[in-house]
Amino acid sequence: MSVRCLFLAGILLCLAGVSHGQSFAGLGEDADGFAIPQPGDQFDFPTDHGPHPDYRIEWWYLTANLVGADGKDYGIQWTLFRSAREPRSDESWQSPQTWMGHAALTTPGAHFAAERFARGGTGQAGAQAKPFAAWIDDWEMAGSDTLDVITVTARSEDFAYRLDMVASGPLVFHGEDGHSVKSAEGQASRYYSQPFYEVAGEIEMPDGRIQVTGTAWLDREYSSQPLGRTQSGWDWFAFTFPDGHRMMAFELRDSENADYQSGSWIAPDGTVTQIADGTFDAQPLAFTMIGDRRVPTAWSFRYPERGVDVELTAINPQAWNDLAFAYWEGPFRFTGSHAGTGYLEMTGYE
Amino acid sequence: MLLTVRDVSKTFPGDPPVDVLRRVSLDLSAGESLALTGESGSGKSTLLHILGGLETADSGTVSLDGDELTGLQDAELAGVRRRAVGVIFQQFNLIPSLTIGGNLSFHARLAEREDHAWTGHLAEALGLGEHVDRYPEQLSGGQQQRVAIGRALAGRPSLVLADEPTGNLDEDTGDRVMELMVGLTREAGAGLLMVTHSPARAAALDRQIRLSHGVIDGALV
Amino acid sequence: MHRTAFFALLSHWRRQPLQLLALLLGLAAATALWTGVQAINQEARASYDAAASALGQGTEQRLVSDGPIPRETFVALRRAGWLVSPVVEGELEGVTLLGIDPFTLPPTAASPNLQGPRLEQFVGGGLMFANADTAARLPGYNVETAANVPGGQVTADVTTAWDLLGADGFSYLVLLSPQPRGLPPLSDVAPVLSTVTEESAGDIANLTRSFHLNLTAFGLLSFAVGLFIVHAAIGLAFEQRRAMFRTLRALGLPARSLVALLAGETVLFALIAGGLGIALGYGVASALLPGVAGTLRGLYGASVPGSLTLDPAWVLSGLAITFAGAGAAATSSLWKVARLPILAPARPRAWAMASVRGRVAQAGFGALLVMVSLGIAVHGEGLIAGFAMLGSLLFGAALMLPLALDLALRSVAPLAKGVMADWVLADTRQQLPGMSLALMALLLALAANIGVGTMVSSFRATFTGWIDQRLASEIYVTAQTPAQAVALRAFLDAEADATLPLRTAEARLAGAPADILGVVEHRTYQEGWPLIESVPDAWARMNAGEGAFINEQLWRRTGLAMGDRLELRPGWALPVVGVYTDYGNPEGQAMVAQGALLARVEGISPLRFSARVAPERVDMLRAKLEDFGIPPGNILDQASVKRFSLDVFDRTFLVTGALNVLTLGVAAFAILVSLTTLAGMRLPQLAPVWAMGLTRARLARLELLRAVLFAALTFLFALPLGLTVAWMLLNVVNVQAFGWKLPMLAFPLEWLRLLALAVLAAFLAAALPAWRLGRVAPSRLLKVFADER
Repeated sequence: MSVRCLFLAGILLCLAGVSHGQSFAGLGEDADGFAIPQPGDQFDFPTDHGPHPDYRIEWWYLTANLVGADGKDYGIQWTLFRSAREPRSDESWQSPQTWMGHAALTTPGAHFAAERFARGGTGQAGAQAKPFAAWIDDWEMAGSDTLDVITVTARSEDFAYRLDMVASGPLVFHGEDGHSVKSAEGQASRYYSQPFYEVAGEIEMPDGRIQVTGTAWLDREYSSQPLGRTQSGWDWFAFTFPDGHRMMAFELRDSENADYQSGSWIAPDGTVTQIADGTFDAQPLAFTMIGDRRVPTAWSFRYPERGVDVELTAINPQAWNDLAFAYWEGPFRFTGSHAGTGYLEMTGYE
Repeated sequence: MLLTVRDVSKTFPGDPPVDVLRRVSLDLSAGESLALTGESGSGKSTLLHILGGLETADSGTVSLDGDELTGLQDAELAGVRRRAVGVIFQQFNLIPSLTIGGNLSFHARLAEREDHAWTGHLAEALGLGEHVDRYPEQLSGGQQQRVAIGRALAGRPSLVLADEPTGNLDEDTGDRVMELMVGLTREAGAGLLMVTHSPARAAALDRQIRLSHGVIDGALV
Repeated sequence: MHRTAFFALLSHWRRQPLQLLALLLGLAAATALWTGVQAINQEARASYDAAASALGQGTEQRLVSDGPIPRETFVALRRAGWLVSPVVEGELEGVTLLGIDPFTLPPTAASPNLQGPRLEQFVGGGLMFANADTAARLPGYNVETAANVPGGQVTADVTTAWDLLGADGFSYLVLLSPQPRGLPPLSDVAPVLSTVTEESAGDIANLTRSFHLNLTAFGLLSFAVGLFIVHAAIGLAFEQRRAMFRTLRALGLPARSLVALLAGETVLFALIAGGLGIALGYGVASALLPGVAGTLRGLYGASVPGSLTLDPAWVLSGLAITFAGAGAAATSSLWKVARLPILAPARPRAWAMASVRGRVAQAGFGALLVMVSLGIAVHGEGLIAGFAMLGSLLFGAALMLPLALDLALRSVAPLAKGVMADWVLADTRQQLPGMSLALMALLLALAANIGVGTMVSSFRATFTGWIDQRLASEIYVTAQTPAQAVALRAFLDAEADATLPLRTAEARLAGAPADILGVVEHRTYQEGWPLIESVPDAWARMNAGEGAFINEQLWRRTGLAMGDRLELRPGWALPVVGVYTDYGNPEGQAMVAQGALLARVEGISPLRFSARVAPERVDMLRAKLEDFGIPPGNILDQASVKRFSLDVFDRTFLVTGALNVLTLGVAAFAILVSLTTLAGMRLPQLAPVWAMGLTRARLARLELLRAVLFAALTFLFALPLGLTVAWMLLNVVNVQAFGWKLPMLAFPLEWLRLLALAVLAAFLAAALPAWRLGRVAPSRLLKVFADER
């Protein structure tokens, strides 16, 4: 059944370049009464770690680059999406809020992905700021109100994981105080991250359990109209440098206009420098056929302002989340001017 | 006079119509035998059929045993065929589902004139005595034709019509069949009218008439 | 060369248009009945599949409780990792309302399409989905038509269902598969729930399998009857073309080429007839499907749409069987052609003159088949064996028919008085080989008619008697609320001679869904529920709560013996002390003392009562009940219940009746074809008789008489055969198919009607050839004497 359509209508259809015809009805609000991110909005923690039912869409998005006791690279994804049909929240089975969970485990030789759906208002899925928790079924991300210490769990019929995370740095805000612009036309989202998690945990696969350690990156983003009409998808890169720097960069592919770039250069102390449109260059080096889709899984990434000139290669090029809404999401390693690990998300290659 | 035929004409419809018989007249008395000869298509079979009540003439009169055949209805003609006429065909035309005995007595029983003694005599005379319980398909052609002769005579008809009765038989068998037919017809006191194109067979009868293009050539004695 | 030869072969049919028509129509009719039946089966199966996949695929694990499952239990299970999806089931205007949660229920073929804004309307706007038939039954509701929703069901969001049903919680939770790794035990998370394997849809498929097998068997029978026609037409064409084959061979056409050309001709005809047959079959199926849908609803509660979809599967299967059939019918002829010596004499009558030896050999093979049938009757098990038994009996008997008719005709011959009777009998025997295929077809059709007719009539008579006995209470009332039920009870106690509360619990008995009836002690039950098997004091023991009665279906299915314990609920088992007949019920049922049932099972509806009252007071009581506040729709009197039940029953066998008539029609057509083709060949046999003084009209009347004689004789053989078939249906097939055995009753009037029908069919079939014989020109008869061979 097409719960996916609900999400497609909320988030993912937009990524596929289909408009759902909303327009700006007033300052801070669209035609349906959803809140619109405004420049100058300020975060209010811990409240903003919880859900924002007056925004159309929202997610809690965690990716982790891990190394197992066996020395192999592993990647973990844990995502909770929220989508609203109306800007209200009620604790009934007729709540207009809808939830979707994605969990994935990537190894050099395999990729597992699972999904969950839930209607809002039932308790089956949800999020709260204090004490912090976000969940769908028994998949859960929970911890301190500051998000400094959190635990993430998920399981499906062929994999499971439990990761304990401790932040070694502060939260960082993208764009202007978290106002992250997504197109030249001004569409924007509220967007902050915790990119400094140190991870220890255990993953379980069909062939056994293994202890893992590594780093993780949590994205929090909410919005009502994240993409422009002609934007067909995005390529999102998150780099973890050995010296403690982090970098997030995304490029929104546009079918009519110039692609739109944005990102953040993050110092080890959490200081953020915005990466302006047109200042980095990401070029596919190799493609992988996944089904009949041609997906770039090796990239050249150059960001001259910081002397970054690297080639990144997917740890498993087949890291395709073959779910109701399908996209590529997986860990990579990079070499060149710098070496390290990161996570790549590519949408719109359906 | 057993049979009196006057000015009988018959035209077969067609394009152009064929005048098969043109004002044919002839007489036959009881116990007399007459051969009807002629070329193929001369009309001799048609004449035979008309005399036997199997077909009707377009014009003219046919009187058989004092009964006028002309203008009779289907059912009345059938009655004449049952009671007054015995027919012998070239193909024998026995009833395959009946035994020889059944075939021999068939016509007589149809005419409700079965005479066991006479039928038995015929069977013996025709050399069929041992075959009465057999079926036509088990008999030779000559034997079958002898059954047909017996069948035609069993009901004691006043007129026996035979259409090339030996046409399907070899010479010797034909001779024997002719002999039996002529002899037994005479014994039964019936008139015999036989169609043949064999002059030899014709010569064996009392009189001959030759038909040519539907017209009698003239009485040949 | 081949082209020329092919056209020469085909030219035969231009001169014999009736033969061509017979061949094509026979093949088309055979294909049509087969295809029609297949189409019906396919349609029904598709709708079972749709029903099966409404919630899961076929077998489905469910979590159930004694009452509604609270919302919290569902959420707790999900939060523990168990993948379950909630379902609310209820009845809305006689339609099954299925409330689902589209978020947790994985999509299946029967899921409504919730693309785009539809999901919002479904989840938040009360939108429901049903197929067109069902939607039409729900005017005024927010129902959108969706062809893939099973019939009789309307699918809604759980919240919509709650609103419409005034309910809360869930009827059950679907346990999805596979489940995640390492879940906590179910008993820890939701201790009150139990797991059941629900095959509701699968049950329907199982229950109806026998019905469809029945239908398929009928289709095959019709096909076989049709093939008799085809075989006859092809065989005749072969004989008539013997001279042509000889000439073609003499002119240098190799035997192999000739066979290939004739095979090509058969393929051509099969293509034409197959296409025609499939079109006809579609018509047959369309005409019959509403009846079948009624049958399935009446008998099994299965919902099948009344309209037909064109499915390539049965189109192809129809064509395939046409080819197979035409091939089977043509093989012997082709074989003969292949071995035909160039100078074989042309004997057109040879075909009709099958030797007595062949007839005896055929009868011997028939006898062997009948013996096989008896062997299966003794040793066979199951429905397929039952049909194999019927099939070999029918075809064995058909093969024996020509010899039997021959003997019969021969044995009456001495009784015949007069030359005409002699001749007619002899000639009838003579015709037998040419007619035997058509008569065999007639025998099959008649025997099937007698057999199925006797079965249905026996069933109906038994059912009518049984329902009179069973529906003893004069009035049946359903209260609207438990409070009203209490008041109603007091009211009825005062107004009626006796009040019988009706209490039923749903249960699973021996692994299948079933009902448990709780009855109070009253003579109504003792009188209305005769036991076909029981222990001494059965009623006393049942009423004391020390034993259970079970219906015949459950008894036959489980093989329980008297005294065996039957588990009614977990932890509650009673010895079986009696078995009662329960016709028309596809499911198992048990009867226990009401007190015992209420003590063991919670949540039984307290609303239904029946009441005994003098018949003349029924109307008055009804009026009083309405004054009391019971809606008229909740009061049923005995007469209307009976009427309804019999109506359901009659609809049930509508299709059987229609197929019977069609089969008989095909057989009559076979007779027509045989007589028409024989007519030309019979002239040499009739001409001498005519020449010796029989009118054509009389001959024609005799031909009619002969056909009637054939039909009547065939009927005489069909009668015992049909009764044997009926016996097998009642005592073997029905027991397998429905789970009950019925007494066999005789219906001589029906036989007479069928005899009249058979004679009429033969008369009609013979009428045209006879009419033509009555008017044949004397010159054609005379030609017989002049033909040179």
